[in-house]
Amino acid sequence: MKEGRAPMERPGRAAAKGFRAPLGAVAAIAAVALVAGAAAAALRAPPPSAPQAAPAAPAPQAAPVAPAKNAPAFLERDDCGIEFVHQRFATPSKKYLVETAGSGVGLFDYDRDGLLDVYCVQCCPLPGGPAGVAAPPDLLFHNDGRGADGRFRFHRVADTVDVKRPDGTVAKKPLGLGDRAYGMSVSCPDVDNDGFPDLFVTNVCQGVRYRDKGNGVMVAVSNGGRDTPYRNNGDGTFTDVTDKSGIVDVDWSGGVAWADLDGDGDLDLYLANYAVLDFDHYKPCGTKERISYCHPDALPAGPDRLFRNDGDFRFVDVTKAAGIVEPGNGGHGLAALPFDWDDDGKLDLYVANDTDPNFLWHNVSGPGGMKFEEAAGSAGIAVSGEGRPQACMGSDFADVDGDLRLDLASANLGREGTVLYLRRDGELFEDRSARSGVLAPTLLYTGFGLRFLDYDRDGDMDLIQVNGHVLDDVHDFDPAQTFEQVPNFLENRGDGTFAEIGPSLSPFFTRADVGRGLAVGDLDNDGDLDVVVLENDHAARVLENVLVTSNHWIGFQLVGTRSPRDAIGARVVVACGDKKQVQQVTGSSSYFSWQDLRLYFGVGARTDAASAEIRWPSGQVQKLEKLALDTCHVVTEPR
Amino acid sequence: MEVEPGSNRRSVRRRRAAAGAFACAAALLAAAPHQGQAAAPPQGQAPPAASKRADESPAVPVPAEIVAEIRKIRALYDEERFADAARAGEALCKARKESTEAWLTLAAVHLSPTWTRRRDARAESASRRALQAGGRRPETLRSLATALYRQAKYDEAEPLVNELIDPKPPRVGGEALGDLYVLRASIAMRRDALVPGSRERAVADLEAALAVVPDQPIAHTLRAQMLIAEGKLKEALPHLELAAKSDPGDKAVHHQFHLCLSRLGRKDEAKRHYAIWHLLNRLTDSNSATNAPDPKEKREILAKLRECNPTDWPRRLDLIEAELELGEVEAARKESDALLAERPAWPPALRLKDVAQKAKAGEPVPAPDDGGGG
Repeated sequence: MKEGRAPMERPGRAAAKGFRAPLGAVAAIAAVALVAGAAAAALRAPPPSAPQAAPAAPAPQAAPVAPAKNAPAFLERDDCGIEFVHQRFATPSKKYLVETAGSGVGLFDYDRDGLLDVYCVQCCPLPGGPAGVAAPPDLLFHNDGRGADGRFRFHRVADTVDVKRPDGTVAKKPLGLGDRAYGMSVSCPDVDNDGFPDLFVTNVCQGVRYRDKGNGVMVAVSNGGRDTPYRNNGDGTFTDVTDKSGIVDVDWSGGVAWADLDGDGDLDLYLANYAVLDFDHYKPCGTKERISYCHPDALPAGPDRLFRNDGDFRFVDVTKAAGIVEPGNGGHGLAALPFDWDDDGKLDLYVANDTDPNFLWHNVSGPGGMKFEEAAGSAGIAVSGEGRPQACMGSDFADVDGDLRLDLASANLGREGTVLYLRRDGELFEDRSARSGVLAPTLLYTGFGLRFLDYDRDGDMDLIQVNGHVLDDVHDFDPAQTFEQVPNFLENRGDGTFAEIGPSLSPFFTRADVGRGLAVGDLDNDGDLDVVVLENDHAARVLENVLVTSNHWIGFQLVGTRSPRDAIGARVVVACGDKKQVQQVTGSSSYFSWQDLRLYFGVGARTDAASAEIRWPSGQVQKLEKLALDTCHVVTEPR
Repeated sequence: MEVEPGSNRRSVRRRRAAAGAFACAAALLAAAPHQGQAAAPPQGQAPPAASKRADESPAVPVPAEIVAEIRKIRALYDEERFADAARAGEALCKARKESTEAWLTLAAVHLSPTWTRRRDARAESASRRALQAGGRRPETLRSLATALYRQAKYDEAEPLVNELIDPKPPRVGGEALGDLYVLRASIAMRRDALVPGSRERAVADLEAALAVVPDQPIAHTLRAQMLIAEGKLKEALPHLELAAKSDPGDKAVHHQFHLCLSRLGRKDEAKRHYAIWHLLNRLTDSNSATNAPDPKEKREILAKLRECNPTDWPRRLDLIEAELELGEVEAARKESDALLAERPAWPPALRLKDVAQKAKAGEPVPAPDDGGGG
């Protein structure tokens, strides 16, 4: 909590659901490689070393220490080694809107040791800010597994790393990361399907100059903060491949989506651009006496872009050819999520826009092509159920009401409240924000990072949301709101209605800060989901899930072969006893962040062997039977 | 759903604007009080004697110069020159800080349902100043409640509404009473799943609103919204039809139509309503010059609306104005004729036809409002 601000009182905090009786040590994660439905021997769960290769077993992890009874569900781990302090570099004389946007965090296993590493995005000084301040870099933290106390540890990866040569000798080599631009989002897809996750960082361009080519076409001739793809070299280092990539985008990029949109087996890139930002001609908003952050409408919306992946990190801008023509004045894009809206086997894209109607790019491509039509209105997700465009920021899909259809949530500005669209029959979603109980506890909060997760493995998807207003002086205008705000944690009652239980889970949910990026993943491979949060001008928050529960779970790590290796867009339906659940591999979601690609299903007290049906992005449907619980299964797509 | 207490949301937007939010203040003086006379109560409102409370200041004679200034502001407002009206309102309040009517007038401008760059926070602060100056007069409470509601400050807005409509008899009547029932219903709908009984209360308030004002379009739209949420789609349709008949230019109605018809499987009709919603939204949603449609785009949108939503008469007037703004005098004249053929002798259309004819003769077209002040 920042000085001078009292933590906000949360309206309607419901009493916490009691913790379940401790079971004892949680079963260590194991993985079963399953090829074409055949179960193999249980192994620990690293990613396979190469496509189709059997997974190698990493060093065994120490057994986790069982938390004491009634311990909080999430333990804040400021001692875990992720020593990163986000800086937004506010410029009081300008108040560029971008200063309040925040940055994302990525979870990915860059060195394939079976443990999720963490990439934190940083900002840099902006024009008009204090002179002589060096730009800090983005940082990569390596997951060292559990320490002697049974808890996960990280260390910062140095700028120079030891790389093993084929002859066994070790050479020093630059890490190849350390982006120092004004960073927004991070995504970590395996762009080239080589088994090593790559990196893509979106930045706000600075120093962009435009040159009139003489025909009225303005061309960007320089920029100091491009969106940057990094190739994972597979030896613990990365290479900036911006120049060869063909990804040229000078607008302020928000979220991104990676998905195989043309069915050729690699991941294409959709950039949800927020605005056209010109630092040299930025006109502050407000009055002479009081400069304020501008309303998004004061900045022209940045046109979104679609890039086709042609392999080897070469991309082609196909925005217009693919029919990505934004209606009206376009949209201030903040999140983009792939999902198959009409169940035709082709991935569509949901784009959350700030104050503009959202987009749903319906994929109507023929074989090998890319063609989209805007259909958010037809789906009922362009605007709220009342017909209003909202501030839609962090967004995520999950089946919250158990009908095996993916529902959608987007976080909004304070006094709008988070919107929850439930999927109905046919193509329609329905705004059930109020009736589901999501609206009321989020009404006074400006949500950014938002993610569904089954934190207690009871078989339904709960919702975490980190908050913080856009205006740093909002309290002066509206005493009920503050810049720093407490996060929400909404527990699913099992029927798609929610109750706020945050304060009972961790003191984290009682402290007000300016939450932005949020990523959820199993950092210690214990079968429950941990959380990393980036807050503006604050140290990264790491929440270790230490809930003691007798509930069981089952996990899946999907490895595509005909589909992209990351299997983004794959949908898994799990059946265990009388319960069926569905999840989808998403990748980028929440706010500017990259999530654990593995899917974790809680199954409650059920102990029956599970079965699963996987619909791969390639269209293949794979059925698996007699799957062990409390295990993360590595499943390779049949060729 | 935008609830505009004080607005009767009739099919003619100018009437909506005039008799709408502005009723709080401007209509107060519509009876043209003379110097030294007390202001007349707004239309449909209980006379002061019936609503007198201990903390309510007695009616104070309104000085003639304030009345004259408010009339000017009202005239600007009626012409939808909102920025000019707001500037004049600020100047009046600066000069006559003690005047309740001045503050209410400024609030009323910022409560305009049709000004995209209005400032709800300014409406609130001006209403609070009116409260300080004149006590808990019904029109002041109504203005403040509306401003608070617009900013989603429901906890603060609701007691003010209760104060006005819970007494027996209520402190307001007529359309004002209907509007306040709608406002309270809307708050209750947002509290659904949080406060037990909210839904039932919302239904009761909407029924009360419709008992007072049977064609209250927002009440019909909200009732339809609730029925759609309950899956009672066929029951929702008549409400939407009544709402659209009363106010075909309200985008919320078209959005609910779209949702209802989509779920009924009537996709083509649903798409038509969504297209209307989209056009109306594009026309009204941007609150800055950066992203708002330029005159050319505005004309294109209005021309499309003429085709797909022809009974939205105020937009037809906007189309003529847009053509005049672009210097398309002949097109404006033709459009005036077309409109007059459908609505013979309609004064606003006649006036615009006159402007177009004069423009054709070389007279300058009045400059549009700059829309600023947001």
